[in-house]
This record gives sequence, structure tokens and C-alpha cells, in this order.
Amino acid sequence: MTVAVSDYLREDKLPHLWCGGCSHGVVVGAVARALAALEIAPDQTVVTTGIGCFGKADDYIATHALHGTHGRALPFASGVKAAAPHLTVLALMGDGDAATIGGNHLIHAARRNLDITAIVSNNNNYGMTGGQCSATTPAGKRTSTSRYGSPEPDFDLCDLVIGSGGGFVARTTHYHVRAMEKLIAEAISYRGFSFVEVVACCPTYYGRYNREGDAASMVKLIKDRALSKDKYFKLAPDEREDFFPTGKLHVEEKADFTTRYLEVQKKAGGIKAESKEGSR
Amino acid sequence: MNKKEWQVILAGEGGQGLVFIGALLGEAAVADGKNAAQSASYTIASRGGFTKADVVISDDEISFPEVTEPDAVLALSAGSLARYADTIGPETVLIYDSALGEGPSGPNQFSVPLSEVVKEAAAEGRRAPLNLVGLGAVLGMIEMVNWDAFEKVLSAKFPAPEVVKANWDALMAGAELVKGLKRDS
Amino acid sequence: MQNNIKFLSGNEACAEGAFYAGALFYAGYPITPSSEIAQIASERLPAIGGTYVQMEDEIASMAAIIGASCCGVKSFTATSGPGFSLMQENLGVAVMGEVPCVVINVQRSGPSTGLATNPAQADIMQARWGTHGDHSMIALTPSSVQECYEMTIRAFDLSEKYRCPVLVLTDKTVAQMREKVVLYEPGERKLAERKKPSGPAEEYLPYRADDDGIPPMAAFGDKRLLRVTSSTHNEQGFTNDDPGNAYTLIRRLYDKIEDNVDDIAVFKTYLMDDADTAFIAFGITARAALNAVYKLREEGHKVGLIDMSTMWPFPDRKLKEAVSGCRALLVPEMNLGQLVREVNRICCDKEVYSYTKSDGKNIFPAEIIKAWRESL
Repeated sequence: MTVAVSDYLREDKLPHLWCGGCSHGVVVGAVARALAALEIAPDQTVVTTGIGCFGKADDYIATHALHGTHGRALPFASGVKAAAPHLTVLALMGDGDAATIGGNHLIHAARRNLDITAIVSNNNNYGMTGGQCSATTPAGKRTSTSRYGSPEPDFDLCDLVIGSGGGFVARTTHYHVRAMEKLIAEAISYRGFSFVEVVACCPTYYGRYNREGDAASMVKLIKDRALSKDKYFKLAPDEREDFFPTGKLHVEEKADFTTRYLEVQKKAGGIKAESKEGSR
Repeated sequence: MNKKEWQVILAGEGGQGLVFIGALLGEAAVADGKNAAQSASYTIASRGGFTKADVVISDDEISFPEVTEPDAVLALSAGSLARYADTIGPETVLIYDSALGEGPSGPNQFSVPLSEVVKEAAAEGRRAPLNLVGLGAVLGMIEMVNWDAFEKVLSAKFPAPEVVKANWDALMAGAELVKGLKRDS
Repeated sequence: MQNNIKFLSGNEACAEGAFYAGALFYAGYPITPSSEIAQIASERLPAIGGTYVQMEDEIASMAAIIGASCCGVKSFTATSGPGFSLMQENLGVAVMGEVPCVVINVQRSGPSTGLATNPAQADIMQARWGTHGDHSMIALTPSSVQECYEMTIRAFDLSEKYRCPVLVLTDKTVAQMREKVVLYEPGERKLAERKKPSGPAEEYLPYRADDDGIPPMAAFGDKRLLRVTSSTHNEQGFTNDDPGNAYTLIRRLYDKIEDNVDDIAVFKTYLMDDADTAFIAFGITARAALNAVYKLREEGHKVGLIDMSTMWPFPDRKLKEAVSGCRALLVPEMNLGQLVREVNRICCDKEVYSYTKSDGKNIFPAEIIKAWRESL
């Protein structure tokens, strides 16, 4: 199969609706390049999304798509993957979808270990609705609903997913575009629940509220704070405050849901395990 | 057995297997070619709390599946005995476990040593479930379904022949207890 | 007993109906008094090559059956009151996205957590209007275990035919009582399947409806790319805020059901030919009403029963016709008066009496007879 990146993009829908300097288009590009690099047929791929700026991501990707309610991209994806394990399933979410209203689904998806790739473009606020705070808005940061600085601490999403049993957990940033593409490809190839957090920026709201400057200076700030996992963990704990680790933070081979469910089907006397894959 | 419809209440506490014997009675009735409906009322506790199973058996279609005029009530707990003792009519057969202590003694109200059968069986290393002994007593009093049907249904329900036998023996022992007692109708 | 004659509970019969209809996917969250359906699905589905997933809540359960159905797999879930409330969110996704699926709601006493082990019939308006926005809804209301079986099969048929979610509203009593059921032999009953698209893959538009108002549906994994969306969309399945497009879409989603009310909505009549009074009831209360009808007939009173087997879409025309010879109507129901609102709406020329009960207990035949004596 010869595939081009353009096979995965709906170029007729471009330009996209996101603001200048927004990270989301960069992430969609990396997803398309990763799928092309892996030569996974668009018609064997399903993208699920929720609500918010990044919930529009499916508009630009030329695969099957299920665009649903806020925070539910993962349970939609879970139904798809459990019913049709031969399909490649990606859930594309913002921090509102993945960490806030859908936080419960995130930890259970990681625990259940269906072979789904969850990609979170985390820009620390709700961009589409006017820059309100989310579960990844750091304490003290200003948003349209935390004018005096958020009183609540934020989630470290990668730690949350690792703690919930996620077998492939990686973090990258808007700046590290090549690494992003590679990590997404690896995450898709991983058999089991895989999670990639992209540290993203929203210059329109979060950047303005917190005086972080334009997109270029926000991306530079992100780049300066991002350390490779090795470098980060060599720092003494009290030196880590201004940084975050990137790269593959946790990789562990374990039986995914489909593998385990084939055992259930065998015990129940259902159709032979071998014949299931590709049967639908 | 020329009556067309029978209504039975099997009452006690959660965990006593009342829904099980209700379903067994209903299933046997269906196996016997009749119509049957079994419904239940219970609380959120799996063990304890008032529980009852209603069974309606009819040669015709059953319009309302719950018991409205019981022909028989089985009470396996003090609570259920107290609930029904004063509310049922004089023609309704009430069978209650004598282990529950003193209870009503109208012409159709019988204190029957159901628990004794359970204890005797245990002493001999057998198992006689109280619920089945109770159901056996009710059926011994009013034979609303052919006994053969129970044998059929029990055999279909339990793959192990020794379990079928234990249940069958318990039913028979219950029926034996009420031999000689007369329903005043 | 013949092999196809069983003594089953309503919940068991619903599960049997789903399997007969070809359901191969269940996602759910256990809740009394519906949990038997989840238990049976978890045991039986893997044995027939299907899948059971226990989700983290009912929001996720509803989402998962939608995802599975988009793969071309007939999917269902079951719940009760509090869980049905959570499902309203993604029930709307199934409406807007036109995803066939079946939801069985075993009504229990509410509001909120209410009385978990007691019956009620108070979710019928929630079933109709629970998810926000203009929409229609199909809801079937079985009153016997046999109907639990048959109506669950029919629910799948209707959901596939009309590309929409279909609700089966039972109640705690109907769901947990056991009765004789006659099951279909394999192949005995014809089943409906969703309309598949034809034509070149690149020209497929997931929301271009045929003349019947229903768009053919590709499946995830097909050559034709399927886009399913819960947002107001054009024929391609992309968000579109043109008012004309929005109205056309909402109208089509509504009309594809309401215009077919005669195909969808059926009810059963008992002794209605010469009846001057009709009882109108559903679920377990229809059984009590039938018993009351028989007793009153023995006394020579001309009463009949309409058992509302379909609650939604409401059969306005057919019901009006069925009661045309009656002077009075009595609507007994286990809520504070939900069905009677509909009866009043379409039968305002009759004397309409309401008998309501909302204490977690069933309505008994004697209560209906008393209500009838007091009303008339």
C-alpha cells in the first residue's frame, strides 16, 4: 500500500477553524503523518472526539469518525474497539474532555486496557467557550473563571494515567513536532491503552490571561520547561518545579482487553478465538 | 382439583430461598401444562428483611399475576407470620414453621415442624432445605400441580442427581408432615 | 415442557429477545431491578461470539453501545431510574447521530434513588422528553413476560428500520415476575436490518436520507467512510449552522418517526366492542385493569381495556378511534398522572378519570374497580 499524508487529511476542509498560534492543528498534522507512516488504511481507522476546540479535530481527518458529547470520546471509542477489535481507534481530546468532565472515563479506560490511543492536546483551559479553567489549569493561574488565580491544583495527566494502569504513557509538546509524530506512531502500535499528552498553548485565552505573550513566546516557554525524562529525573525534587518530563514516561507490556476477552469467549464456549479478528 | 386457579404466597426473609421455590412451583405448573405467574417482593438486603413470592397457577390465562385472594400462605419467619396471621381470610390455608413459636390456630392454620425435618436430615448427614420442606407441606395440603412435574423440573434444573434427590426428598418430607391434616373449606 | 416453552422473568425474556434479534454487544452498569439483564448478557454474549463490557457509569454505557452499533453490531443496554437519567445525555447522541440501539429501562420508584426494589411507572414522560432538544422517541411498554420477549425483538427491528434509539420501558414487577413464554425457533421470525448504502464509496454521504427520511448507514471499517456526529450537521456529517439546514435536519429526525406512527404504535384492546367505559393502562397496571375488566363484566358492566403497548410515539388517531364508542375513560397508572395527560389531550370530548398511585406498590384490581365505582 502506498499512502500519502494527504490520504488522512480532509484538505478540502482547510484552513481549519483554530486561532493563529493554536497547537491543535500541529497535533492533527502529527496524527495524520503517524497514521501514514504506519500505513494503516483510513477506512480501518476510527477517530472519536468530544466537545471543545480539539473536539473539532475529526473534521480534518479522513477516517471514520464519531463526534459526540463532551468528555465521552473514550467511552465511544471503547464501544468501537470492544465490538470491532480489528479497527485502529484513536480518541482525540482536549483537557476538558479528557481530564475534567471525562476524567472518570480516562482512568477507567486506562484500567480496562482496550487497545485505544488517547491523544490529549492540553492547553490548560477551555478555549472554545472563552478560556475557563479546567482540571489542568495550574494553581494560581488566571482564566475567565479564575480571575484571582485558580485555587485548585491541577492534574498531572501522565501520572494519573500511569496510576490507573495505562501501559504506554508519553508526553511531548507543541514545539517537539517530530517527537510528537514518532510518539503517536509508537502509541498507535502499542497493543493496549496508550496515552500521549501534548503540552499545548492557547494564546487567545490562557496566554493573554497569564501574560505569556504571543504564540511564539508561549511555545518557547513550553520548550524551556520541557526536559527529557532522563534529565528531569536527575534533578533534585526541589529543582523540578519549573520543568516537566517528556518522552516515553512509562511502557509496560500487558494483555489488553481484547486478548483477555478472547479467553472469556473461549471459557464461555463462544466462537474460536482465532476466527474473531477481522470477522466483522 | 377442579378449581381453575390457585394463589399461593410464600413468605419469610431474604436468603430463605422463597423466590426459588416460587419459581420452582411456577415452572412445574407450566411443565404440567398450566399457566403460571410468579412475582416477588423483597427489600435491598440480600439476607434478612421481609421477602415473599407470589404464585398464581391457572388453567386459563392469568390476567393479574399477583396474589389477591390467597388459597395458601407459607410463613417461614416470625415477621411474615405476624404479617399474614390476622390479614388472611378463614378459608386461606396458613402453614407456618412450628419453630417460630406459638402462632394462630384456626381451622385452616397449621403449625408444622418444618425445621425439625431440616435438623433430622442434618443429623443424618443429609441436606433438607427448609424452603423445599415448606413448599412440600403446602403441596401436601393442596395438590395444585402434579408431583411428576416437580421431578421433571428438578431434574432439568440440577445436573447432579444427588441434588435432585435431596430436593425431592425435602418436598416429600414436607408433604408427609401435613398428611392427616384436613383443610376446612 | 417443549424446548421453546420456558418459565422466565421479564428481564430474562428481554435478554432472550435481544439475543434472538441478533444483539452481539452489551455495555452497562448494574442497577436494581435491571441487573439480571447485565448478568445474563455477561454470561451469554461471549458464548455466541459477542461482547459484554461493564462500564464505569451509564453515561459511558450509552456511549459504548453507540460506538459498537456504528461498527454494524446490534447493541443494547439496560438500566433503571437513576441510570436512565444518566443515559439521557447520550440517548440524544443516538437520536441526532441516528445510531440504532436498544435501551431497556426497568422503572422503579423515584424520584432519584427512591425505592430501589419497588415498582413504578413514572418514567414515561422522561422517556419521551428526557434528552434535551426537539426530538421524537420510540418507547414500548410490555405488560407480560411474553411481551418483554417480543417487544425487545421489535425494539431492535424498529431501531434498525428507523435508525434511532428505541426504549423498552418495563417496570420492576413485569421485569422480575416469571411467566410462561413461548420463544421463537431460529429463523421463525423475520428480523429487520439497517439499510446499507450502495454506489461508489467516495460519493457516500452518511446523512443523505432516502425518500423515507432514513439515510442508509455504512459501518466503521467499511470502504465508505462513516461520520457520525451529535452536532447539527449537513449530509456529509459536518457541523453546519445554516438555519435552513438545521430545520430540515430536526424536522426529518422528528418526522421519520411521527409520520410512521401507524407502523410503530400498536396497542391491544380487550372487550372494547360494546364498551361504554375504557380503562387505558400499560405495563403491570394493564394486567390489574384487565382483571378488573373481567370482574366488572361478570357483574354485567360494559367495560373494556386498552393496553398501551407503545407509549411513544403516541397513537393519537388510533386511540381516538378505539374509544370512539365510549362515554368515559379511566386511566390507572403508577405515577401522579402522566399517561392521563396524553389521554386528556386527545380525548377531551370524553369524561376522563385518573387513578394514580405513587408509593412503590402496584395498583391492584380492586383499587381500579373502586376508582371506577367512585368516578362513574
